[in-house]
Formats: sequence, structure tokens, C-alpha cells
Amino acid sequence: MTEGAGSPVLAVRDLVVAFPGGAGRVVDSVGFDLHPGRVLALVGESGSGKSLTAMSVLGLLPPTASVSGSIRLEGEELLGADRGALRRVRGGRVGTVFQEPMSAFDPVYRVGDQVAEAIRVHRGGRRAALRARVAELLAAVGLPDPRRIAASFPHQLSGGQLQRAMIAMAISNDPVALIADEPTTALDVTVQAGILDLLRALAAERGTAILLITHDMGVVADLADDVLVLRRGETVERGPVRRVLLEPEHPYTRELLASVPTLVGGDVPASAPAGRPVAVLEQAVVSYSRRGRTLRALDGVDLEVRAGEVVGLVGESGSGKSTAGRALLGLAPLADGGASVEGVNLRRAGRRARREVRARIGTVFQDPASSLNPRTTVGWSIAEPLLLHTDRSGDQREERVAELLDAVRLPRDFARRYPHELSGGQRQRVAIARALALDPALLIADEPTSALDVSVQAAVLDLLADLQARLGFACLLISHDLAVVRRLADTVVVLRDGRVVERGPTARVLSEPADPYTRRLLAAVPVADPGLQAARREERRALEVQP
Amino acid sequence: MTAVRFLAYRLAGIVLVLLLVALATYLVFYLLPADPARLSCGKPCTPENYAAAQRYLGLDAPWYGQLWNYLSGIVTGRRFGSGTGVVDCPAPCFGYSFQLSTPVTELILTRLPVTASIAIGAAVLWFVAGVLGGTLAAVRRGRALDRAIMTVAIAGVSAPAYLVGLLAILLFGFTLGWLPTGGYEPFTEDPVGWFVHLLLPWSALAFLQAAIYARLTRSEVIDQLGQDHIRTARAIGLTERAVVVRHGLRNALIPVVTVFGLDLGGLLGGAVITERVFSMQGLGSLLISAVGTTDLQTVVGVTLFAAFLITAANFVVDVVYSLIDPRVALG
Repeated sequence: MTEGAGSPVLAVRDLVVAFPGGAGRVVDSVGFDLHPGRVLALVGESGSGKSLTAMSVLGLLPPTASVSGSIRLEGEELLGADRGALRRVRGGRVGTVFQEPMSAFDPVYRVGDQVAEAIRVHRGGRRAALRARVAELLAAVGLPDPRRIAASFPHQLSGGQLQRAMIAMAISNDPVALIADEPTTALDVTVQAGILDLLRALAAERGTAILLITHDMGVVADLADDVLVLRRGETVERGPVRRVLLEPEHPYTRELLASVPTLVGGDVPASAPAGRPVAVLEQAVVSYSRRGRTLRALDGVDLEVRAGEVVGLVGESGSGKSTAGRALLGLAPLADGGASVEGVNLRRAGRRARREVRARIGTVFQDPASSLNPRTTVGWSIAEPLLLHTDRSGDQREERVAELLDAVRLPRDFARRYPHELSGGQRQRVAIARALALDPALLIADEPTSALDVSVQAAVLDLLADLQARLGFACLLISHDLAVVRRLADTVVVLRDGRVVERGPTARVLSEPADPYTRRLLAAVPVADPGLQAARREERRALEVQP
Repeated sequence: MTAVRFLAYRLAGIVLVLLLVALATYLVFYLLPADPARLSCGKPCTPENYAAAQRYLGLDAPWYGQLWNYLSGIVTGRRFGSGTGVVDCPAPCFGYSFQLSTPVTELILTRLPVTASIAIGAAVLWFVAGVLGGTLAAVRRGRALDRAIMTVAIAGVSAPAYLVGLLAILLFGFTLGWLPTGGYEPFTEDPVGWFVHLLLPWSALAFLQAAIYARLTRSEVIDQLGQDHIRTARAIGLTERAVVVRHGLRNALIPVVTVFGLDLGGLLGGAVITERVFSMQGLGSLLISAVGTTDLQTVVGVTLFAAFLITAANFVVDVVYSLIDPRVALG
């Protein structure tokens, strides 16, 4: 590991975390040094123990956990320290930034008051002085109009603004170390880029040591100096970021890097011969009215998905990409324009016709954990569409379920299992099997891999590509992730604020984007190569300067 | 602007609900076989006497006419009979009880302090006990204290109020002789007597409600303590007490306060069982005896008043809700 100047701020040795019951050691002999001004990334997939490692530094593991080893903060042992000492560390010498800024703030207090609370706990202070300090901090993390932000409640701010406020809170007591647990995972790429810039500046300008926890190799390349790769609680590989990302030694690291969907290299699907149009949106307008104001989620969108074709619908949160899918399902009524699926005009169709059309559409959603009914078996979930829309007998349904499980490459006896007995990737395969149960003409996949680990994500994407090629359905792939779209889509449509800003063959749009927004979007995606990423960062900043 | 619209909208809603309640109550009584005119027509009940009684009681009009007379009386006041038998019911006239020879408005106003004393005192008691017990149980989840509190709560939820009340009277009133077994002293005349007389009814009523509130609070606090923002609160170095109270309980109270407002509003319209058990002359016992004697105008008046309290409580809860939960706006 690259050593910074002087002694480490945080030194972890032989950290072991275990829970009672079969789980065994969830963190096994992990050790690292964190130096001032440097960023150490703990990288791993779910279950790797990366977050548990970070939480053990703060003494915030669940009370059932047993912890051993040594965690020294500026020489002071934290393991076994009394509660008062740990409280002084939390938010005092070690600040923390969490993954979901929307839920990490208490919804009932103003953001400024929550930041002030963090200061008051450690330093006390009068109301006016605290208010001034909060405004100063909010300005320091790049929030314009800090007084307005301070007076806002969490739900009134965007994810990016909240994450900046969270960082302000984390640095409010000038911590020597900052734990950033997936700090950008819930954010749009363009927002993510800004947050990563801010963290980098904190390390460089304040000399804060940052422990970055992430699953995203692009984020690692963009921010980290050193990397520690974890798998099932064990250290797999460690070293300087360039070495680990460019010349990985361990097969697992290589596998992890290989499964990261990229924007460069690899195959881009050749445009398939387009068949008849299956799903069409024509100047579609969907509007919501909230408190007297009308918001247009879709504002005159044209979209066509042909048989045998995968159309990638790309956009950031609030772009209207999911609404487009809902419009095709007839779930978001059009205020204007037209929508048709399989030649049926959804605006004119009656209930029965719409129901029949819906039977021709399969859908896969982001989170398979919540889109499958936890109280029914997987087989039942897959068979339900057959029950609703066909008159197959029980035996025929069972046979079809077995066929579908084969198709998504799951063992047939999974039909008798319940969703909680499956992993995330397996659940998503079940969701795909269910979507395909009725041989759909159109498959709408809304962020189908966003909740999955990268290695699982790659396999699910391969499966989708394979099924699509074999079965020839039209597919609308909705995603915020350009790399995912690149892997699967023949055509890309870029949405922003409910309007199409660019469309074209995937290869062309992603390599020579015509629209400035598409260009900024592409530039904001970090790639898993530190040198390349540094160059891309400069490009992105140049784009941001342009009007 | 939206707040003004909200207000107007809700007030219109309250009036509409009250009209519907009046209508429903009138219809129910109209369908009943009882005939107040026959009861008060005297013996022998000649057709002339019967007609006179009907006219006197205002029962000669069809039911919608009676309802209209009743409703307009709220605004203008009413006069029953003529000559020496004239009875005045000044506005706001919510009917006239011929059984008790008193305007219903007056009846409500004399009975309300009794019911309000029971309801408000018990509400304070059960809210404090329930929230405290529920929070402690949530924090000590799965441990002895949690089990103890939840066991008592199960007992409270399962035990009917009249049973608890009667047992309490038996123990503290008769056996130990510590507390009076029933009755009511006005606060203005004897504050200590008021308090002593109310202790048992408060406790009996609060026992059941506190049990419900403890269970509700416990599950809400447990739910809140699992939220992401609790982790943040711990990560900034707050003490566990501050985490639980300022962030856990504060959020958990939002639904609890909502239910509390509705419960209190409902109870102010008459704590029927408690009043009966402790022989207190509140709105609840007024309503029950009015139903027993087919005193239609009293029943409608008290029912309307109770309905008004409930709709008003609902309205207050909505306003309070927007104050304690910034995510909710009026409108």
C-alpha cells in the first residue's frame, strides 16, 4: 500500500466481525492504513463486508455483532472504547456520508438545523453563531444560496443538494477522517461527478483522509489513491489504484473489472433488421398537476419500438423515462398525443382492449425484491399471468413455468421456492421469466439491473440479450446507465425534462453525440481506468464551462 | 391561497357531514314504531288530544318538514305551543326535550363539563402512559421490560372498560374505601372533590386506551429506529437518548397524534360506558336515556353535537398534521 507522509490517521488491524448463527465471519482479518489527504477505496459486491468494516470504525454495528482486532484513530484504540469516547469520535473526528441522501436526513427537521445539531453535539454554541457556521459550511460544499438551503426541509431539496448538505454536516467539526459509504450510488451521473469533485477537493485542500466504500470501479478510478478489494469479508487484493485497476493480480478483481459495463471497447450490438412497429408514442404528453402547477412528465415524445429491436431510453431522474414505459402500459394517461401497442390505440381502447394489450407486454422492474410477492412461491409468480390471461390447465401451467425457468437458466425446482430464498440476480431472472410467460410482443425493462451487483448485472444483461435475439420481441430498455444501454440497445433515445434531445443508432449516439446534453451525460460517466478517467474529467469540466 | 381554499372546502365538508347526520338520525327515528305524540297525549287519548299533542310537539309536519323546522331552529330559535303552554327555545336551538322540559342546547352545556372532564383527563393520562410505555418497550425490544409492558397492554386491550371500571370501584371504592364510587363534583365548586371523583373514571378509561397507544407507539418507534436517518443521528455522535427522542419518537408521534385527535374528539361527544359505570351525568348518559325515552330532539341534538366534535377533531388533526409533518401541506 502506498504510504502517505507520516503516521496513518486510522489504522485497522486484523478486524474480524462475526454474527451469531451460521453466518460466520462477515469481515475476516481486514486491515488497512488511512493517511491524511488520501482516499482509500474499499471495493466489493454486496456481502463483501465493506460497509460493516466502515461501521465498525464508528462502533455502529448491530449489538449482536462480535468484533475483534484493533482500530486506532490517531493512535487511540476505538475497539472496546467506552460509549462517551465513541460518541466524541462519531461526527467529531470521523465524519460520515451515507448512500441515500433522501433518507439519511430526518424528514421533520430543517436541513440547517440538522447540520447545526451535529455541531452543537460536539462544540455547543449559540444559535446565531451556529447559523452562521452552517451557512459557511453549506457554501463551502458548493451550495448556492446557503441560507435558503438551511431553511429547507429535506423533501424540498434534490438528491445532489442533500448529499452536499450531508457532506457539510460530515465536515462540520473538521474531522480528520471521512467515511463515505456509497456516497454517489443513489445519484445521477452528472450529479455524481460534482460530488466526487467535492470529495477530492476535501482531501486535497483540508487534508481529510477519506475511506470510500463503493461497488463502482468508475468511482474508484475517479477518486481513490489506494484500493482494497473485499470478497465475502476477506481481502482479495490491495494496492495503488492504477496498479489494481490496470494490472489486477487476483482473478476476482479481474472478473469484477471485466463485468463492469463500459462505454469504450467491446461489442456494440449491430442494428437489427427492424420489423413492424410494436409500440409507438406520438407526440405523447403526460402531465401531473400538483398544487395548482402542471408538470409535464412527457412533453411531446415520439418513440417507436419495432419487433426484434431493443430501444434504449436514457435519461436522469425526472427525465420522464419511466413515465414513457407507463404510458405504453396504459398506466399513465396521455393528456395529448397518441400511444399504441400492437396497433391498438391506447387512448381510444376500452378497458377490455387495454387489458388484452397488456397481456402482450411483459415488464421487468428495477427491484426484484419488491416486485415479486414475498408470500407466494416463485412458480406461482411466474404462472400468475398464465392464470389471468390464458385458460391453460394446472399441468400445462407447470410445464410452461419449467420451460421459462429453463429459459432464464434457473433450476426447475426453484418453482417451489420463495423470493427470500433467492439472491438478487436469481430474483431478477424470475422477474424476467414472469415477463416472458405470455410470449410478449413487447418487453419493457425499467432499470432491470440497477439493484444488482456488477458481476450479476453482466449475466442478467447477457441473458436479456440472448432471449431477445432468440424470441425476437421488441424491447424498451429504460435506464439511467449509458453503459447498460450500450450493451443491449440497437437504438438510443435520450430524454431530458420530458423531451427527446437525441436519438439514433447506439454506436453513433454514444461515440459521436450531437446534443450537448448527451455529451455532458457521457462525459460524466466515470470509467475504471484512473489515467483515462482523469483525462475525461478535464473534458467534462470543459463541457461544463460551455453554455 | 391554497390554505384559504382548504379551509373553505373543509368547513363546507363539515356542514355537509352534519346535515347528513341530522338526516340519518331523523330517518332512523321516523322508522321506529315509537310515537312520542301518543305518549304525551294523556288518557283518554282522544283524536283531538292526539292531534293537539302532535301539533304541540311539532310532529304534525312530514319528516322532512320536521327536519327543516329543526335545522332552521338552530339559526332562528323555536317556539312550541301557544298561550299558557308556550315553550321557548332560543337560538341556537338544537331541539327541546319535552321529557326534561329543557332546551337541548342547555342540556348539552350542563352535561359537557362532566364529559369533558372525563375525556380530557383520561386522554392526558393515556397519551402520556401509552407513549412512554410504547417508547420504552421499543427501545428495550425483546427484553424483559418490553415483554412486561406488552403483557400489561394485552390485558388492557382485552379487558372491557366496564369490567375494569367495576373492579376498580370494588377495590378502591368499597374494599379500601379510598375513593368515591361514583358521582361528579364541579371543578369550580370543589377542585379537590372534582379530582378525587374523576381519578377512577380516568384510570379505567385510560387503561384500555393507553394499552392501544403503547402498542401503536411501540411499533412506530421500532419502525422509525430502523430508518436511515437514525443511523445518521448516531453517526454525528448524538447520545442514544437524543437519537430515540429527537429523531425516533418525534417521527413516530406523527401517526399517534393523528389517532389521538380523533379519539379525543369522539370521546368528548360522550364517554357512554364510563359515565354509566361511575354514575356521572355526562353527554353519554344523556344520550342513552334520551334513546330510551324516544326523546327524538335530544337524540338528534346530542348526536349532532358529537358528530360536530368528531368532524372538528378531524379538521384540527389535519391542520396539526401539516404542522408536525413538514412533508404535508394544507390543500
